[in-house]
Amino acid sequence: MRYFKIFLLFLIPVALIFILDTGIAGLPPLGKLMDPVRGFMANAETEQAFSDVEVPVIKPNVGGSVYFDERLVPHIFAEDDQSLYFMQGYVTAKYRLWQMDIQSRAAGGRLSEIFGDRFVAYDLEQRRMGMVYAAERNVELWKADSALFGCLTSYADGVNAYIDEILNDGYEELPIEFKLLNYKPEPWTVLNSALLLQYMSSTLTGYDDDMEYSNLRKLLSKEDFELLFPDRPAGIDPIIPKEKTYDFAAVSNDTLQQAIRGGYFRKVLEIFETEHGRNQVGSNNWAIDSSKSKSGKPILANDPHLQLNLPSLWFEIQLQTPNSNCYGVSLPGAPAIVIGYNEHIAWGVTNAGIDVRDWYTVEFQDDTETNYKFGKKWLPTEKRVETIVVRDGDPVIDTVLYTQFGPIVYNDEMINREPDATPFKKQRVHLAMRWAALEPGEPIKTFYLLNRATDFNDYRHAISYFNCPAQNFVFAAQDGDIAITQQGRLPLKKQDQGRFILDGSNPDDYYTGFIPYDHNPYILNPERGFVSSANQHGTDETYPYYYTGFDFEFYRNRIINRSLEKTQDATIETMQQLQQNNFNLHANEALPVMFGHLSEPCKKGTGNSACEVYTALQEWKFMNDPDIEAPTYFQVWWDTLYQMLWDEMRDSVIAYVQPNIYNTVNAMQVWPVDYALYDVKATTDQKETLDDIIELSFLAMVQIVDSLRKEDKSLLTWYKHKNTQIMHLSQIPAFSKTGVHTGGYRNIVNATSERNGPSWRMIVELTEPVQAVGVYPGGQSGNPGSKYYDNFIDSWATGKYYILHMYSNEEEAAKDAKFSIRFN
Amino acid sequence: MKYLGSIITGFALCMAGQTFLPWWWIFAPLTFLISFIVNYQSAWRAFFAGMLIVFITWMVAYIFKDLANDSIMSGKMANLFNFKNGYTLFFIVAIAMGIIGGLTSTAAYFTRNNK
Repeated sequence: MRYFKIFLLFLIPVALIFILDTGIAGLPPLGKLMDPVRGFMANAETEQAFSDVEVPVIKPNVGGSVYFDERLVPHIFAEDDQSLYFMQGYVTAKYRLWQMDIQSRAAGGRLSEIFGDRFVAYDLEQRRMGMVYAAERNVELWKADSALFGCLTSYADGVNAYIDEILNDGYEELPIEFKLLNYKPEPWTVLNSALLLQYMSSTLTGYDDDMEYSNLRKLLSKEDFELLFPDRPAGIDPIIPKEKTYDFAAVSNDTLQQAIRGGYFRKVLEIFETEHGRNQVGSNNWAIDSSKSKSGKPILANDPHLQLNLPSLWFEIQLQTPNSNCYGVSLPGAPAIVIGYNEHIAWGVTNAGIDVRDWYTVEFQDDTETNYKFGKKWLPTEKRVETIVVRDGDPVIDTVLYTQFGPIVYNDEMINREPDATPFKKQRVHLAMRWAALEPGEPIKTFYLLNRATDFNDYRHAISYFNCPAQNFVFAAQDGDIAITQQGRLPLKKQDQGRFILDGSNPDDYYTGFIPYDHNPYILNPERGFVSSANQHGTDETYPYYYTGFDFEFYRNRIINRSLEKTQDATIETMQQLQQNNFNLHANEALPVMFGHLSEPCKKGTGNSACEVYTALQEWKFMNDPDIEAPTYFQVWWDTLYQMLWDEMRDSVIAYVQPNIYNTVNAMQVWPVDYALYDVKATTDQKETLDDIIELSFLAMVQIVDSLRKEDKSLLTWYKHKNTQIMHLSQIPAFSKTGVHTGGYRNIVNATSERNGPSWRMIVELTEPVQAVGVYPGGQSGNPGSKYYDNFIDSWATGKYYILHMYSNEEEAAKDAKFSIRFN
Repeated sequence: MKYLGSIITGFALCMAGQTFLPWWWIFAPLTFLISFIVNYQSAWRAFFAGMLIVFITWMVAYIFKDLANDSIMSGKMANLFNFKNGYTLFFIVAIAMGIIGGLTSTAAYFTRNNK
């Protein structure tokens, strides 16, 4: 009995320790994690983290210094490119290692290795889209360019030097997310960098409406379809102004009458539409020339609107060698600066939003799927086996077939994963994806060259290497030039080609050419004294090539252009005000139409909440400011109306897309009030008119407002209703910021919506020396236990900027430095 | 006095162990060792000594680091594990670890007094 007692007294603590050391039931090893010395408290950053250190470097000929300023921005001073990118890799890993790891896994479809089988569908999707295939092909292309590849390998070496350092120290030094998710970083490779760039490409071009449009063409008349989904609606203000003439001989692109293919296409995997959401990513950029600025020097501004996450998408940095000096933001995981400026020029980007993803139906010769029909020939498929490793589970193996168009992303097997829907016969549909993001390209070369560019010609040469995602590169130089180019390797399409599902067996549907680089639209020093872009159409109808967009924008660009037309004697502050502009042009144009169909509620007596809301909207100046209620009323009303209006285009099985808000407002003005599409499908006994649905949606809005007011009046203020959230990449709420106090919205220059917004605001004045300000909603450190994790958010939310210090030499940087790292 | 002395010595030993050795569970063999050497008068005294030593060690280590970090990390971890604040988290973990330490300390008592 005594021995048994002793045995128990040993067994219980030993068993507890074992469980807490290894982790059970999906929990991390809690003992290790809670260890006050090496567990999560090791990630509780203290001032000790900011003492000067020396890092011995094993790699020969690598050395230099990094000085961190008071905001933890590294200023890197190196003798050559090899050392420069080694140190960039090292310091980026030091602050953003987990982010780099998880983002490259997300890109390459490897999340199941960490999170288990709930990510298998996501991983499958990434693999089927050819993300890894494309990244591998990119690496092969980069290898041929030894200077470029040298930069990428130096960067990887720097990252690995840091990884080795922390792995030597064991568990203690791991970023907190590795501890919580219980895994370790793996060595960084150039492929990881390629995957990250692939991810960016996917974020910015991974959309199309081909299936949806194909279905809509069967639902709607041709006239309605073209009114609701036009390639180029009336009233737009393209990036390249009217004064530009396209005086080149366009490469032939004859007109093709696109046949409407038979059969509805079933809704594709949910993740396709919900992951990023259209009308979410977007950006503004502009530059004014000397005639419009107070200093007589150009000013350039850029704010890319991307998903707001912690750690931030961007990492601020200065990179200096004897041949170059550049400041801006970099992507953790890739060398060089993506948006920034040097001593001579500044540049920025917005997404072109051109549709570069198309789908081809593939007809196989037989069930072996080894050959597919193309005209009179049978072409062979290539098989690529993708293995998805699943944590605590069996690996999933998927064979992806590649055609000349690209990978077959959806086929019978894939579609069958969806729950069966009765009205639709299962049909064997094999859809191959043609996507510009899968073509090899050298975006890093563009950034490498832009970092070192000194004038317009350098800029044009640098961006010529940029294939995908097509971007609007804005440019300003100290010598007074301003310019904008819509750059990308864009397919040479016939009219309507790629708007709908294409027939892979028909050689007429297969496009092979590309628009010559010189024919991409650009303008240098326009008469109006400014260039700008905000994801709108690139050109007017005089541009001789056909293109279509997946998500052109219609409001921000007009506000920016109207404002810049009037701008005189501008300073950095003037540009800040424009970036913060909360004017809701959509509401300004839609509300009068809506009021025109509404019976005035105050006639029935004042004092009721319908009248109150109505009056508030009447008096509203269309500013989406954070602390007022009118934007909430408008948005709720609009959203309700929109859903009532386009209920025909919402289906649980068939893939549809609803018209954008610009075309919606337009249709409301064009159609008679009793037009058939206004009818609400759910009420079979009634036929609603536009008047009816505007009335109904108004009353529904008042009801929502009333119930919110009862719950808590402050919920009606715009910022609370909108609830801007900056989420940790793993979606852990404790590491995220919600309810950020900001105004703006989608389609407003200050494009801060629920989850997306200005991910970096930068303004550069090309004086001597160059002056610049910038801010992003996050912090330099990726460590949730650091005060530098989210310390920029309040400044960002209140519209403040930081002065950016591009030091001209090491001594200056050393003087201001909080601490330094010396590599030797 | 001897009891208090053993706890202070135990605390110093455990703190050194936690700081310099790579195992979070190092307190368990240490409390066993202390209890075995000291040979407490009763099983309960052994248990409480072990528990107190570990509890104090973990609390002191937590608080020391937490003060220098303005509770940034502990606040977020507490939130993640649904605790009110970092100190509640510290307390509960330190108690749990204390129980393990108490058990090994008691095990030492019975090993020594196995008659």
